[in-house]
Amino acid sequence: MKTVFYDFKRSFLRFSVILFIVIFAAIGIAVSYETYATNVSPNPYYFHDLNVIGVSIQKYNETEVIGYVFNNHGNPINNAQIIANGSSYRTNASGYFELNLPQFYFEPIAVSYNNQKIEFIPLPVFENGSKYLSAEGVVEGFSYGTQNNVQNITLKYAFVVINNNGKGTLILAIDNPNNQGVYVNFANYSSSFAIPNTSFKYVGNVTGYINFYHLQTPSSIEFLSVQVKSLGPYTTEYYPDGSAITSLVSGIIGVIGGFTFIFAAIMLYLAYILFSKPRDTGALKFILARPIIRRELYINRYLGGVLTAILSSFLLTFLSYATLSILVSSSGILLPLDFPLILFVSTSAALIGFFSLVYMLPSFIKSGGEMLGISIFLFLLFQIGPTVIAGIIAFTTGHINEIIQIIYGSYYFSPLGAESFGIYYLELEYGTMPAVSSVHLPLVILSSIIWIAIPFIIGLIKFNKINI
Amino acid sequence: MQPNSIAMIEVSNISKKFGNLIALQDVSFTVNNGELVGYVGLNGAGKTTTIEIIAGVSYPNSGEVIIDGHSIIKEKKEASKNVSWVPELPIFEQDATVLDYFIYLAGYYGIGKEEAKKKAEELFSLVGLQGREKDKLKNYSQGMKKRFALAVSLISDPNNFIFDEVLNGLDPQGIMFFRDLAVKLKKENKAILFSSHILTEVENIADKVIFIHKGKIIRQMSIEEIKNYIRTNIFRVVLGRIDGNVIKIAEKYGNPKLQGNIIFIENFNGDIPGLSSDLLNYNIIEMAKVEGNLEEVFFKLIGEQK
Repeated sequence: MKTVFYDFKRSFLRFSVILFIVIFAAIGIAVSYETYATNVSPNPYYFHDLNVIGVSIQKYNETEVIGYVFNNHGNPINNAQIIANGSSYRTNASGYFELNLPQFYFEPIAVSYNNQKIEFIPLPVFENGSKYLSAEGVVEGFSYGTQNNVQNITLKYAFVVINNNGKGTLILAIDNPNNQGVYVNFANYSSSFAIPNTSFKYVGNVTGYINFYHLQTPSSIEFLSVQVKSLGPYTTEYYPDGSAITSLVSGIIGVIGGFTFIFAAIMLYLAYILFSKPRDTGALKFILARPIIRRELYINRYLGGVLTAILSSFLLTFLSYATLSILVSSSGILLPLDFPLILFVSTSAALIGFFSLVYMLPSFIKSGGEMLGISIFLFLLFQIGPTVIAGIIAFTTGHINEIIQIIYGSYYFSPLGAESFGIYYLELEYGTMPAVSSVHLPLVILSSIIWIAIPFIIGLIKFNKINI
Repeated sequence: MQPNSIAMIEVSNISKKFGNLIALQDVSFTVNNGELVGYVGLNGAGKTTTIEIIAGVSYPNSGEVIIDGHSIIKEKKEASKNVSWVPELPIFEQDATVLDYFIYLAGYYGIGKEEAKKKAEELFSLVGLQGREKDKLKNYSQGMKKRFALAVSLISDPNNFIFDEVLNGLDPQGIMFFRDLAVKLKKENKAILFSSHILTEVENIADKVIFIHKGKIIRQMSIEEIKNYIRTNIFRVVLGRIDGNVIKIAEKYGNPKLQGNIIFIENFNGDIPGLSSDLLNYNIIEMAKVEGNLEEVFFKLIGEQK
């Protein structure tokens, strides 16, 4: 057996490690289910793979309803069933349906497909989309046109935006198509609502009741403004993966945060078991009498701890991800993979960084008890220290309003900071407005690398020289 | 060095400091193939420090150790394959399962799991640990832990062995086991360095004894040299009755000293019949020549050092 795998086995297959992984995995699954129960069960149609958009036109003695039924990727759904006024209709191969209903018919109309069902009321413009759509809106306003000397014409439109990895589609249903120009603008989430007209991009003209436009869609949360000339712009939030993801990921972020907090203590314990205690008791000497050099022994045992951190983080993040994905699988959309990836990478980096630091200590301190004491101090320092220190700095310098920014700044100086930055990036991508205006990715990466590499190298150099 | 013998463990001028404390100073000796060398000294003399340097777990400040032609400092891996160390204390990771830990350590010799299991079966049987392979090391007795360390030392079937105070804490059966094994290894032409403070044991099995005191080698002697060194000319007579004349009678045969009812006659002239005849009325209980032992040699050498 390769000795490094034995060291890994001995660190991973440890009661405390397994216990905490099982506990957190159970919590991860439970929270995933809770998230599902809270967000999905009460409003299942939010998470369906079924959407509708269209217009109702009041004619002399009837209401003509024209609609388009599509899935969460924006593709048409053929043969979806529409039930209105006691009759059943079907969408055509292009996802369209057309209904002729009595005049002023405003009863709910059901759209069913693949055991999923949504409803809409045939208002002049309507849309009912899932929370996986990137943006949606219904607008009613006055057009101040001067064409044909007609002014103050009412104009209603509904729209949805679908993002397929940057290649977006804007579907626009309008009750009064008249070759109007359609413009869109994406603006940074933290910038002002005041958006200059010059930044709007023209995407095409209105040519019918239901129109499709290609867009370049961003990959982060932004403000989206849609403007149909000559109405003013309508601004809403744009979520690249839909707002559903936000609600689904937030619960799991909390679980992983708790895991990192507790598991840092486990890493501390592993550094003690793998290196400090054997040094204290002389067991390292017994191993060093084998055909192995000190550097190999140091690296072997280090890798044992590192692999445990990586595997534990992986199991937890991807187990939670898989559970939630299975629960919401009916929506036809996979939860974005970068969600567990960011959590996994940031959690692993934090745990490995802290492990490197405490693993370095036995090279300097022979006593296992002393090493444990200092490690526990470092654990507390880096777990609660940044908040306390940032609070003191903010208070003494009078920058109370910037306390969050200062806390995030202090994370660069903590081996456990990577986890907070991971959550920051998830919030930026899927969550609400981030608490801080800027986090510098190169600095985050540099900080993580330094926290992992420097203590490791210092410990290794020292270990090569000491009297064990 | 004996004719036709090859130095398998060659210690050359090693010195070691711990802070200001000089633990070893210019220590040099060799242990040849088929030779069992006793390494004798008081506690703190530097025996374990020397042994840990030979085993490759500690660095000397200067000097060199060559094992089968390989430097333990510069060619550690190659040298370590050829030397096994049984330490004085059971310095293992005690929470490990015995077989598991054995397989782990065998891994360092490039031995795979299945082969290691076979070796474990064979060696555990040899050292008397069969049936206890699944125990945790912490549940082993002191003697069993030593036997485990011995089994580990035999993994690679090396040519050289270092036994550091292995007899400490062992019952008579354990002492006999280790002693017999050391002799057996010697017969198999292995080189064995055997440190012990039980000097009678060293005396019984060693070909050569190295005396270390305060970090310095004070003498290296073959067993023959030791025997000559300890040969005395003192005669001892245990009497049943003592009076004022007994010393006067004994003075005819040498320089007597009376301790209780025992007379020690230094420079004894060898006339045992005359002496026994003269002391007939004093009820002789026992009379014999006094033999020296390794312990006396050791303390005599220390005395010379002072």
